[in-house]
Amino acid sequence: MYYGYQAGYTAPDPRQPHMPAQPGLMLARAYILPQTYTRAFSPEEALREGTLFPELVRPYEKKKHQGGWA
Amino acid sequence: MRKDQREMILDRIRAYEFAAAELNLYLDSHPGDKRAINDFNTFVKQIEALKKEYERLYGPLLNFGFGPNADQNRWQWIDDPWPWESY
Amino acid sequence: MWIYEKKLQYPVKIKRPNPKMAAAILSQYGGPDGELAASLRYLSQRHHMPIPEAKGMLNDIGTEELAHFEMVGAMVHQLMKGASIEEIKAAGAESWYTDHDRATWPGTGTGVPFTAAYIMSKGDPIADLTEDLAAEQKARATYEHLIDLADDPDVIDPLRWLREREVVHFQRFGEILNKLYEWKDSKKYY
Repeated sequence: MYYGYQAGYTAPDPRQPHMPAQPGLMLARAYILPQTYTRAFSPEEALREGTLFPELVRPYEKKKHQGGWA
Repeated sequence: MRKDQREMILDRIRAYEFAAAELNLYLDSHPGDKRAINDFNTFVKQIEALKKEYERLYGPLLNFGFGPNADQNRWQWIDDPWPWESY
Repeated sequence: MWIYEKKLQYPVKIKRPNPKMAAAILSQYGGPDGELAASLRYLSQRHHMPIPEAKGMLNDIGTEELAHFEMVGAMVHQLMKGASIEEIKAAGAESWYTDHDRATWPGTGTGVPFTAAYIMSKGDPIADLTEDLAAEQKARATYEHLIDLADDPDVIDPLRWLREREVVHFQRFGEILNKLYEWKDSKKYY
């Protein structure tokens, strides 16, 4: 039977991280990207939006239909 | 008419205080950000001017001595409306 | 210490009573992922933090959550104020009315009282900040559920605003968690 095996092919070791390790980052840690302050709304606009920072605006689409996550 | 003017000043205070609060939180995790510090201080000056104007007309915005009672004859702090009643 | 500024951080101007909606929104007042839980969690955790950034952020977001607790209380108050007995009965809110009339109380709309069991202050900075990230996500999700349930634009507007604050708080706590990792890693070199 043919499984697509090729001579010299080594399956990736599932214990290795999927992407190369970033300098200073470790496994088993939750990292949030730090924000850099560049742009700001005007105070009036900021109050309407709920944040001073345009890059932190995350609008919500109200769910009208039945059913889960999507 | 007097209510509309009070609303207008209060809405401006709301906006500038919110902007300052946002920069306050940002600076708590970025204490070296000079630009943020400068913008924060600009907002503070604006807030001080707006609050002075509000308090001159309507009495203290904060309790416990953080603002003066402008009316010599009456304690204005307790006046209606309270924020949960209108805004 | 805390002093009180006589304004809401964001306006709440609800014109139509709705006891059913009031009961739902009460969860963000005294429920598991509500503003009171958030505030007490952060204000309790702040004492045991090892770096000034963490003390500052927990102090300040804990303070802001009190302002949100106030906003949610205002929403519940305005949704109940002026509701007739008929409207209260139609909403199935007889139990609430029996115990509270149209008043606000820190619990859920189904009568579950607020408890410190909703929060943790573990004394481990990494655990505490990771809990805080989860808390902000749970609050954000709860506001989305409330927005799904609401029809009145005067109700949806402050809910939307409070939801956006949770997004920002998540970002801020994430940055503090990063700083706590740096602190933890630097301790190895003493």
